[in-house]
Amino acid sequence: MVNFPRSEATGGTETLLLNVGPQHPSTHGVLHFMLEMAGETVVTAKPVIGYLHRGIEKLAENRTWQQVIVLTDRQDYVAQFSNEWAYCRAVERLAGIELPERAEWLRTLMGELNRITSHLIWYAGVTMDIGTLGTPFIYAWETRERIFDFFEAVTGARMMPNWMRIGGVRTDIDPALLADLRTFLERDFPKECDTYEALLTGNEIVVSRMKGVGVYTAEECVHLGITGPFLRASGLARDLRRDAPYGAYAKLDFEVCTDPVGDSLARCRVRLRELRESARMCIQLIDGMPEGDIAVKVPKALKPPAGDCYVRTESPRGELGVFVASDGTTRPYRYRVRSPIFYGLSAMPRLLPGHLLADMLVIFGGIDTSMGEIDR
Amino acid sequence: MRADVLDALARHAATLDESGFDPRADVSVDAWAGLHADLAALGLEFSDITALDRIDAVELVCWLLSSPSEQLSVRTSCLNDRLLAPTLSDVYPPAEFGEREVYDLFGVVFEGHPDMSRILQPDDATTFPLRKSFELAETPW
Repeated sequence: MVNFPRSEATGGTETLLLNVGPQHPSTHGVLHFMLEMAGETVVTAKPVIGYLHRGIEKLAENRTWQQVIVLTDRQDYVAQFSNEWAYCRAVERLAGIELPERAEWLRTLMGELNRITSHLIWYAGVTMDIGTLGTPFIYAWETRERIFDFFEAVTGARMMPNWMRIGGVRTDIDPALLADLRTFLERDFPKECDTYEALLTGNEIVVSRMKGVGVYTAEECVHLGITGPFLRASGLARDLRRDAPYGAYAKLDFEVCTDPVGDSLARCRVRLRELRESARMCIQLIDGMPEGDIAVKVPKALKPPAGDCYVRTESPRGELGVFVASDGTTRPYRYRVRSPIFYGLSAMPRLLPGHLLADMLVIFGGIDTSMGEIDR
Repeated sequence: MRADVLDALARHAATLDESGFDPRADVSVDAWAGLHADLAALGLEFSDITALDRIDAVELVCWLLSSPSEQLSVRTSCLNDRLLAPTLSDVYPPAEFGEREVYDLFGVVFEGHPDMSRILQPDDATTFPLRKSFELAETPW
């Protein structure tokens, strides 16, 4: 069986209940941790969630299949395209809709750019958590904004694109825009990645805060339901883009970034390498973009046959699953999101005890929370 | 489908249906925990637990992975007058949160669960909003 770090600090010591959040700069939204502390050491940790619950799964049951897409943007406002994509794939599987190749490639391009913007938000957040007071934060924000300019030019919105459709995508991407993006990704972006690495993994203070903090084996992570970069940083090459390819991933040459160490620093290294890997994939997508239609015709009153199906995708945070059930009408009977961070957070009561309060924030930063996706 | 998984399903009298998108196995509530313990021992990984409202019953749906690319669902049904099922949280730790969510939104109580409390709704909530009997009412302007 798996052994989890256990605190020896309780022996006779008086403990203290410490509330971290729901309004706390390190909880990335409205997350509340109830910590039982023995001095500076965490004895038990209980995450309290639901502050951002909007009932998206219920709202979806009262809309048509197409009208749900706009909710998926708001579900996880940091990885909008990944969420739209997961939902559209689930409905397309249920309704038996095949996409034109160009639509798949366009979706993959936006999905990978979205991975970059999402990882940049993680970068900005985690550096703030450990007290770098803003410099790396602003650098990441600037790069993210340049990609958001591209999102805006393509979809009309920076953050809430509502761009994918059941059966394809809403707008095509202008070749001149693609050329600009390619120049940015090839010429500027690697230099910016160099800066990020220098500021984080090349910074002596950051390394001493993160190295050897929160070491977990791949076996523990799998047992606790952790997926995505956190799991890959424990040495297990698990990535749905390679294991069960969708979109255009089967035609791309990319590496699944892993790290054998499994500590907080390894999780930083994996995400920083994924930034470069995603940019490399985007360049391949721009170069190989096939011509053709961007969508197939799908009836407005879409009625997928009665039944249900489950589709898993690799979102920036891990395995994002969408379970949809139809009763043969124009509205979903059930729309369910398997949020990777919901299950990542469920592992925290087992991962955090025994660590110092300051280290707990570093470990917790390693799962890259987005409260919108947890609370839905 | 792997032979050892088929054996485990047969041992717990599960009916297997492979005509859909993914294989699905239906078992009785009594066999729910035992089957999952056997499947976990065979190395199947937990992906998600959720539920479907069947009006007179709630269908529990547990998605498992037999390999990184292969998934199957194991399902059971709880009638409305007995919304009770044994917990899977001792077999799959992440099910602890998943089952709390099913309880919060559908009202199924999991026996043996370490903390059967509300998770997304406030502690004093009284409704189970994902039941079809819970209607979203329009708010007058």
